[in-house]
Amino acid sequence: MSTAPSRGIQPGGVTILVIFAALCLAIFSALSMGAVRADKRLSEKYAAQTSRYYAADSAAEAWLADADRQLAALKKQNDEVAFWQKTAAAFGDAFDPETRQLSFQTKISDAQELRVVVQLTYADTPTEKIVLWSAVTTIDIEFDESMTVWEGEG
Amino acid sequence: MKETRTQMGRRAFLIELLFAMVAMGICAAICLAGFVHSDRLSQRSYAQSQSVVRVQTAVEQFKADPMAAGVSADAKTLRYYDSEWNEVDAQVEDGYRLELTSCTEEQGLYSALFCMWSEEGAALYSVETKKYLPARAREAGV
Repeated sequence: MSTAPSRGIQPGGVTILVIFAALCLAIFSALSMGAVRADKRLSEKYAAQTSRYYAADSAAEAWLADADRQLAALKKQNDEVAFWQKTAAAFGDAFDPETRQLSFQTKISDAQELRVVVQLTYADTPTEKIVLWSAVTTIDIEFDESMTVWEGEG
Repeated sequence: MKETRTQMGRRAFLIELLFAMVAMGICAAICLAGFVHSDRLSQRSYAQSQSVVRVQTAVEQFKADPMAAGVSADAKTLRYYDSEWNEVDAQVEDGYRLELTSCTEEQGLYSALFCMWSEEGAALYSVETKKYLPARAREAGV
């Protein structure tokens, strides 16, 4: 009497299946961890950049308050010609006599700064108009688009 | 003799299956812990991003009208959020709370500190901001 050959899972088959399943689990786990860590880094950078922006913005507001007080005092004490002369003396390089603009810049990060430009006019009531309040990029950003692939030499 | 070999094969298969199940269990436990950790980290970074956005919105609203915030050294809650970041009327479980921690004014320069808190009392994000309002604008109520 002959017996039919076994058609079930052969010894070793289960081990191969387990190894495959374990590998799949480990790979997906590592991928998920990697993606989450990248998300975390991004949200931390976003929070830090927002904090830096508002620190610079607050510095600009404080500068504006100080400048407004100085200008109000100068306007009370002087006629128009003396006012412009004393404004130039008080603010130095921050004041452009030709355009009659006051400017202020403060660093946000290594690549950005906040620029503020205020247009001054002499009138009975003090009039300063903010013409620029903007975060600008200060460096030339060069994207690394090179690909380190073998080109068939060496 | 043949029957004995078949029995041995079955026994070997069962032992292998047992070991495979144990190994699979250990591996699944380790990976599951990794997935749970990833999920927690993901929720935390999402909460941080949302906190920044909500605080930023509150800051911009403050800058648009700093007098509306009301000068006070005492902290006051501005908004409540549920766990899905929907605005709600009161503190809910696993929710968040946006607080104006302090608001001061000195010669037209308003300073405010905003903070987002989790229900457990952890500060998720806080930022200090300033806004200058000249006397003429304050008098005009702008």
